[in-house]
Amino acid sequence: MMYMLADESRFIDRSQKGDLAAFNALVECYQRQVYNLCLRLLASAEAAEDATQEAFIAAYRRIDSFRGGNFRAWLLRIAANASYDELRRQRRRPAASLDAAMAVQGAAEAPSPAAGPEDEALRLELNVHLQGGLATLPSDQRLAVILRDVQGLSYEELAEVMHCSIGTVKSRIARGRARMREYLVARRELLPRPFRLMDEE
Amino acid sequence: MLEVLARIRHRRNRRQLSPYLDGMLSVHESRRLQAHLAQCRACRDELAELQATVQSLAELPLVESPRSFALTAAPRRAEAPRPAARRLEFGLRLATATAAFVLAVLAVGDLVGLAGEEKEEGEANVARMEAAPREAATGQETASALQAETPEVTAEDKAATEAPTLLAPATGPVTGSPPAGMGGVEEGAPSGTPVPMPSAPPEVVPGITEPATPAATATPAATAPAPETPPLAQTPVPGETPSPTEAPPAAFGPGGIPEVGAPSATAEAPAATATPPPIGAHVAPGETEQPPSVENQAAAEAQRGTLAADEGGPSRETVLHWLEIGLAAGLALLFVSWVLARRRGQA
Repeated sequence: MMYMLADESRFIDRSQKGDLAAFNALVECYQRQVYNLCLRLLASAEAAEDATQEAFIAAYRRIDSFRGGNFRAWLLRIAANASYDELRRQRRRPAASLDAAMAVQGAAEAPSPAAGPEDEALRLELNVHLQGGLATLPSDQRLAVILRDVQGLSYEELAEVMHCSIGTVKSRIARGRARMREYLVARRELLPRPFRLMDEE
Repeated sequence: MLEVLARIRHRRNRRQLSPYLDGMLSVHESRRLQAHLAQCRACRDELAELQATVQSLAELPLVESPRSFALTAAPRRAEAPRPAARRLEFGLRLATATAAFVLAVLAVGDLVGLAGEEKEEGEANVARMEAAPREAATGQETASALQAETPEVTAEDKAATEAPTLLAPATGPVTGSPPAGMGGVEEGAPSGTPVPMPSAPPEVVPGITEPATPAATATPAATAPAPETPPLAQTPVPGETPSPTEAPPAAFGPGGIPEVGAPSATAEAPAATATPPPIGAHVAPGETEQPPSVENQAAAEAQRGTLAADEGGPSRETVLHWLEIGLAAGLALLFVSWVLARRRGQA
């Protein structure tokens, strides 16, 4: 997924003392995950890039406020906030349409060599629908589903990122998934395997 | 009935499908859910669909980072730990809370009556202590102002003469003095019979007390103290007949000693309306002794004097209300500055 720093806390320590190189090592380590979170939250490569940069700048400026704990959760929280800011900015000025954004995103995804061209097309289509479904969720449910199901964080980490209880995490995930399910089931005919199979059951 | 129960159970189990997928249910809960799944087709379908949803989400590819987001130049650090700002914010918060608390106590006391009384007395005492010297000043001021209004001031001659007497009453019988003065002076002046005790207070009293203090009830108080101070009183100015406007000078003019007494009396008179007699009594002695110094300070302390008079004199309620209003205004100011400080701290 991404390489881990052997001794993360030492880099954090040095960052807090103003060592930009140490901080940039952390950036290199987490930028992919941060960018992907922003991309799923914003559904726009361009906006995700801006939000990611903003998130790292904010992280550096606020690194002193990190007092141990899960650095990834701390960073992802900042990234989520940067994304929400970006979303607000976009809403103020009508940005590129969602479709265009998703096209960009689809193109950005590397085709998996294992699958045939047909499967590949289906997969891309499914991804577009997934992104469309995510866009319909309320922001807290969207964040929960992305962190949990797309990025694979634990419930505990989600609670840290979202500053809420495990119970709240549980319910946000459950509601987000339920909505996603409804969204996909409503587009069953358009979807590849799993949902079609279900239909035939 | 059974159906309702089943539906409730079904709904609960449905809610647990999502955490079940993540293995977040307790053993007991999982077992119960599995039992339900075995006999509920709808839940089985939903679980399968949820699983498919989760799986397809998990298959969303992790996109490569389009570029490096490493920072080329260190951005300005957030002034996160500015201790001074934080302390300021804390201080403001504390002050706001304190003010709010005091205001609440005052308001409650005002409503209940008890707390307010106690407080006021305390304040009144303090005011007295400070006010002793000032009272003279106030007296003069008030006297002058008032005299202009009261034509009968002529009585002041007597008043002056009697001023000494006043000294005692002046401070002591705050409540009484104003009315006494009024009644005494006005009545006395015409009649020509100089009534020592009443006359002194009159000068001042008229202006101030006239509107506020209706009853002559005060007189008794004034009279009582009078006996103590007589000696001084006699020296005073018999001859000087101050015209209404001149009243102030008159106060001074008469015996140095008496003058003081007179003014002080006046000062208190206005204030006295509300204050309880006991307090006044306490003050009286102290004041009598201070007369000489008072004269000089009069001008400078005029302002303060008035304040003192206000505190001592006006009814408790008035004082309380002004206190409350002041506190509320201060509280609002404090609150606003706290909010500002806080916002600045967070920015």
